[in-house]
Amino acid sequence: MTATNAMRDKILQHVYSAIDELNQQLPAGERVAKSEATVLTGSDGALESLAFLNLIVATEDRVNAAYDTTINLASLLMESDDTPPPGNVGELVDLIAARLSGAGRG
Amino acid sequence: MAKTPIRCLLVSDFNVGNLRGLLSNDTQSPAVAAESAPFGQVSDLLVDPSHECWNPAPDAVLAWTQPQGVIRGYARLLEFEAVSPEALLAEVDQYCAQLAALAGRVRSVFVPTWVAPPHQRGLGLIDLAHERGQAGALLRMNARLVDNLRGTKGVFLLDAQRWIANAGKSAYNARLWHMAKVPFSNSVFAEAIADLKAAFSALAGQSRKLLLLDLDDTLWGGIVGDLGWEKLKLGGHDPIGESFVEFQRALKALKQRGIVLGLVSKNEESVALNAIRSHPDMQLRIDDFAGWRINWEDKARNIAELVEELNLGLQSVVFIDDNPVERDRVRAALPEVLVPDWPGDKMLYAQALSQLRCFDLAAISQEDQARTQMYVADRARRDLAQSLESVDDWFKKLEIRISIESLTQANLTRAAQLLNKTNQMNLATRRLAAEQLWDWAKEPGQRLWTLRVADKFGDSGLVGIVSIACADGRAELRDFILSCRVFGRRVEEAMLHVAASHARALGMRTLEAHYAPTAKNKPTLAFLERSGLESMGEHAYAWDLGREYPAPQLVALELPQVPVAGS
Repeated sequence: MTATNAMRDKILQHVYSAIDELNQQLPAGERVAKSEATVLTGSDGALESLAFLNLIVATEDRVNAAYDTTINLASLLMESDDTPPPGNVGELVDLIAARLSGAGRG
Repeated sequence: MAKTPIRCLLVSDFNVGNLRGLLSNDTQSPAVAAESAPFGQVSDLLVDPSHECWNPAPDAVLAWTQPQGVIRGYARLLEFEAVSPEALLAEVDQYCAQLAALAGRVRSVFVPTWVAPPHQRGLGLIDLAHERGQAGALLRMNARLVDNLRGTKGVFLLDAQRWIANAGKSAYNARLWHMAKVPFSNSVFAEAIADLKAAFSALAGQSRKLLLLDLDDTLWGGIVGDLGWEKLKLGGHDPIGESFVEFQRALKALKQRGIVLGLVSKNEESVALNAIRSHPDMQLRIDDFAGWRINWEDKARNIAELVEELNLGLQSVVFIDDNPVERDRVRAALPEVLVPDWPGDKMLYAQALSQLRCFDLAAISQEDQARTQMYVADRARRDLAQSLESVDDWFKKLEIRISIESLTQANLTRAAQLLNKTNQMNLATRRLAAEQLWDWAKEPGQRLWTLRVADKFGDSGLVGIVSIACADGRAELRDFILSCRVFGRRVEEAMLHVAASHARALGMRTLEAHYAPTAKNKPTLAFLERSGLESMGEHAYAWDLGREYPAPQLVALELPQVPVAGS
């Protein structure tokens, strides 16, 4: 099964909802924009590690609840050398879509 | 101008990064600037006042720990090692001593009780009974924590178990714990922040103290004007009727602890009051209400009038009404009034009431508990005043007694409450915590007195503060504070009399009053203008201490000893 555009859009909304939760605890100057291009890791503007973990866990909670599944995103990123952390929001969405459609690694 | 945020230091054995962010960003008043001390070093930090986290000194500390983080015996118990209850409690005592010492350096220390993750079953069936049981040990440790810290000035215990229960199954987050040492989810932190904010408001004297209630479908089920009181849903063998009884009992408990109740309802007054008097299952009776507006007028206007009659500010009012249209109207017209959303299900009324944090108090004084009786007595005084011809007749009949005493540890809590809550009769509107007020009054040349007022209708309790600061032959009135409940009963003159008498005895030549205007203290200016003090320019008044300021007539004064000149 591959991720449809509709499914990808739904995942994006879950990530944005998680960003809303994350922004409640970030200082005004460090809040995360709701855009697929928003940088998460690896270069200038990357999230501080606790903020990144919070985003991953909040996203995972939402996706697991919505799809009645367990994608184990946080564990995957911690355990697997083959799964680099997503560099931006779009890559995070792709990673989740791949996990949900069974094409994910790890 | 925005107020300076409260600087709150988070001291913990776990990562409080998320809590710090949520607390600092929370938009509910008061604003808090949260900072975190290095985590996992709780005891070291508590006993080291020179650590950089204490500089500058925070206004408050939240010392939130997991039991295994600070009590080594409990950590060993989790591994089923033998730990005697005595050894466990000795560790709790040691930790409490560290917290108590911290309270000497920081104005407020908040200590959440210890909680265990709900999934932790310990020894199962015998967990509460066995010496190595975790739940039993935790109960004993929390009881000891409460016993040790109860009454420690500046230390406030918070019930963390409720935060966990309200957050439900997601209270603990194993992934955040293992990856970032954050044990709790944001929903737990949200509960903690709400309680902490309520605590800050309570300590600042900003708790709500007047609860106004609608009647039909709020205090009882049904429309009394249509049904008659006999057919209202209230009590009886009926789940809705029992829900209203439970709600009224909860309201009565609020009243007993000092929240004033009032009624604002669209009804025929005689019909509604008759229902309150006659219905056998009414838990609240006429004398439980300080006042009411029961008519067909606009509820917002009725609220404003009743609040003025009770000499309170709109910022101290909560309004409960089942009707969302009325709630919207009051919210729009009187934004200072707190109008909580109210459940449509009547069986949830008592629960909704108990979830309101706006009535939280830092301490409960005798004056708080007797507040409604004081308003009922006020009603009787007003009735008497209307039946008499002259003011002097009224004073004679009232038999007012004013007792003036110095500041003591026994009256400090109430005095600080008055200092921080009183707006209308308040010369300088300075705000100080109880300890700061105590320290100020003990400085050389500074004196502070409290006033208690009673009359034939009842005891109004401690309702006034007057203080002077003496230097270079001048005594300056520093605080001149009086509860609006006793305005115009010649207590103001008694306050000037005691201040002037002491200033004279201390060898001062003049008594000065400098009025600092605020949006609410015009009654103070009005009194100064008629007080007999000489105007010395804008907002400055003086009394030549070459002569006595006269004691008020027809009022019995019980004065403190006047010092010997020059002492």
